[in-house]
Amino acid sequence: MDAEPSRLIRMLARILARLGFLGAVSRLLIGPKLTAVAWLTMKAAVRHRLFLAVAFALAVVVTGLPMALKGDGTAQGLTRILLTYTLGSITVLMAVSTMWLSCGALAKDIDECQIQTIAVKPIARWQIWLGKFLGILMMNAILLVFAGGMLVTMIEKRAAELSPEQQEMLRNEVLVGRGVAAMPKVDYGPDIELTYQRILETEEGAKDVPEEDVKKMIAEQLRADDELLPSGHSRVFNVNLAGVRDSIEGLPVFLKFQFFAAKKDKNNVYYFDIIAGPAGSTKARARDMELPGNNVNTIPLPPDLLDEEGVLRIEIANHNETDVLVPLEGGMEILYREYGFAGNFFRGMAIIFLWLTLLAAIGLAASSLLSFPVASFFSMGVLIVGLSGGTMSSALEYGGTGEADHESGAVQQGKLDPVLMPLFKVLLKAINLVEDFSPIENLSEGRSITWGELGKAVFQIGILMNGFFGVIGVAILSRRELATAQRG
Amino acid sequence: MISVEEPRTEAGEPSSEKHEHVVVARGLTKVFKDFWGRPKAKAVNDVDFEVRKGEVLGLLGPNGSGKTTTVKMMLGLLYPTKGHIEVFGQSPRHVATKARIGYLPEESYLYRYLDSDETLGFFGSLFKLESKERQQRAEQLIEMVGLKNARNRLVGEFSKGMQRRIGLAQALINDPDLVILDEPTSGLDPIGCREIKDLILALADRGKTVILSSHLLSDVEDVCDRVVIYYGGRVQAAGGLKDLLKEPDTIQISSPVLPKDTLKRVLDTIRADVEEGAVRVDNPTQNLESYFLGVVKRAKEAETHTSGATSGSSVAPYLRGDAEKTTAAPRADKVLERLTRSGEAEATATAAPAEEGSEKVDHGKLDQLTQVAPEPEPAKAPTPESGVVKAKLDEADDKLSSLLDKPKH
Repeated sequence: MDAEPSRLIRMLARILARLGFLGAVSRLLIGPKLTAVAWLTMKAAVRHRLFLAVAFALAVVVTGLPMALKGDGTAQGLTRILLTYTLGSITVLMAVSTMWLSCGALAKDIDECQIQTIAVKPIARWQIWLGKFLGILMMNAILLVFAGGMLVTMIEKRAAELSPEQQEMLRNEVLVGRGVAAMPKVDYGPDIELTYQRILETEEGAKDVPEEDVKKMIAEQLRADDELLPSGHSRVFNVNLAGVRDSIEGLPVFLKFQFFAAKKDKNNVYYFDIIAGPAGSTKARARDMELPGNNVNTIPLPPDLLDEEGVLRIEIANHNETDVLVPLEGGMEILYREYGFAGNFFRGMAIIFLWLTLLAAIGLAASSLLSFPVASFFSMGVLIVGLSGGTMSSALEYGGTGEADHESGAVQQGKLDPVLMPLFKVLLKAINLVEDFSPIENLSEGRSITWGELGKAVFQIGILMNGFFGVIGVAILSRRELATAQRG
Repeated sequence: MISVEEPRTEAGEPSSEKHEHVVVARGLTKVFKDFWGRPKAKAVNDVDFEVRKGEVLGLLGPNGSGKTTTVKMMLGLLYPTKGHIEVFGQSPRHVATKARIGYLPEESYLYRYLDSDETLGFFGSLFKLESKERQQRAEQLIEMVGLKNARNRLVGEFSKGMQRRIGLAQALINDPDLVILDEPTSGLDPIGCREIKDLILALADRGKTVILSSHLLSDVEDVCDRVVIYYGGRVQAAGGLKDLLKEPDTIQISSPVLPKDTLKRVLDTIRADVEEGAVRVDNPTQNLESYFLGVVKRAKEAETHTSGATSGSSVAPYLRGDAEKTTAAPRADKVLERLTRSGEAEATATAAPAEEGSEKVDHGKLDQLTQVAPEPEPAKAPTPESGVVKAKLDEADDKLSSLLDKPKH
């Protein structure tokens, strides 16, 4: 009974092994020794059935999840299922398998002593490490191409089931790479200084309060003033699109509008007048537009609304009985078509691939020193720390890890804070190098993932972070005695 | 951590004297420590030795005596706590030097998910062997170690003996100058053991240096020129095998069965000079290895099928090199020497009592031997001039040639 799957696995392994062309290219690029170790790592994944198991799980996720989750018939619903959930699941699944494989690839070789037959051959230990790393990368690349291909096929298939309007929306708003133009960032520095000086002159006790605390409060007040759109008032937002004027000529653009109401409407519906285009133009005007609160609203705007300087003027009037808050960051943005879906999808998958390379580097670095189970445990720990960026940034923001006093807002200093705060700062910098990118979210929202962004990911994740863990792993492996383990 | 230094002359050049030695160990010490860095066990304790180019050196010792630890320090898998060791005048961790070394570990540390071809292909790649060369060598090695019928089976499915065979093949893929074999015959059947020993002799004939670590005395005795005997992490004895084993105060005489009167006369003559208890007369027993080889030969002639390892073929051509043409004879001589003794014994055990007077005691030789007692010569086989003995020799030679699938020399 077991003969058939076994034969299938070995046939698959043979096909992989006899991809003569790929092998030749690989030898040319990375040399025969690295190629040999990389192929060995891939073969291990295939023969231990990890490759097949992950491929099967990916197939189940890509085909099963969209079937299990019923869509609401809209382009957004389809996107949420296929890109947000499915692509997210693919990433998680591959992250786990990468970590598992990378911890096992080296630690098992050391624990089971096979490394002793390799390390006595004319191959440097860094080549063993790098060969294993490249093998895992090659396997991940194959699996990602497989999963990505299936996902695109599923999108095509499911898109055909949508109504023509929703298909149109899908093509224009989701299956594209849209650039984002936001309001220019405001420099509050001069205003803060001015206000602070005025307070010092007018308020007697102001000198007794630390300058930093006063300025922080002033900055928050200025920011809140700018974000507030009072009831019955209107505000003009100017977004500079001069740089992309030619490329968006004749194409619709999208206003992304997000707000938070001070008083909640029981139906969560709010009314706004939105006028887009040069002052006095009535080309794009919507009266009493109904919009849900606490939600990202995407409103299509007709083409060619820019003024002579390439600025898009948006005037929004608040017709509600309550004030609303429009966040300066992410509250009001203009989305415009920048790339097609294929290129955007490729770049998104490339960033996911880079994330996986980092997990491989972490796993291999851990397994250079630790046994398989301990290395897995350690790698999971690193991953958890990586996902705890929010906690660390909160601690840094409040200035300590102790409990906060609700009345004064002051945070008690923990005993370990003198060590933890600098550590958090360093860790956050490293985490931000990785978390600067949101390929799944961007793909789901039809946002552009630019070549520049990909290049930045290659530098930050591919070179800096992988380089860091790579150096640690190679240094440990090079210094380690490899024959301390005995088998049998 | 490692304190291996390349020895240099005053001019800064590597010492040429050291280069005559393939391996040099000085004050070599290895202490295994626990998690907290506290000494746990002193596996090797202040060991000095050297391995000369072209010799077969045996590292002998009981389990846990420090042989394998020494071998692993030689290979750069463990680092000395004190002292130093160098291989080909370099640190054991020098990557390029490893291209000249072949290593068979004490157990099968091979990838269980690879088959024989893939295993040899992988290790061949690490030596940057061209694809064609790699395939040729793999082909020859698989043939040599008798795994031709199992070449597509995964190593994980192999018996222990088969794993030793493929392990040996991987150790030789690079045609190494230094071959380090750790318990090479462990798990092998007698045919495999014999083949390994023949291979070691063939490698030595080609000028290769072989280090054999074993606790099996017969393995070491059969093939080694010199031995280093370990006990408790220290070298207890070292030197040439003949020097170590000879008993200068004793001689041994072998002869066909003698008529009772003749034997009595001989014994009386001896007892005249030697006290009663110091003389012993008995029938030599047949060597079990040769008896077993004979049984297998008969089974092979009957073409009994096996799906396991078969008797290995001749030494891989690339390992034989040109040297074999000139060195095959000494190797055969050594094997023949063993089989001659056993063949003789067989004849002794099975033959009817010889006709009276057909075998004469050479009193001259006996006198000569008794007079020149201190010379520690090993026991001599009957002279090849004897027609009966020559026939036995031919028979033994035929037996060996047939088993090893080689033409008779």
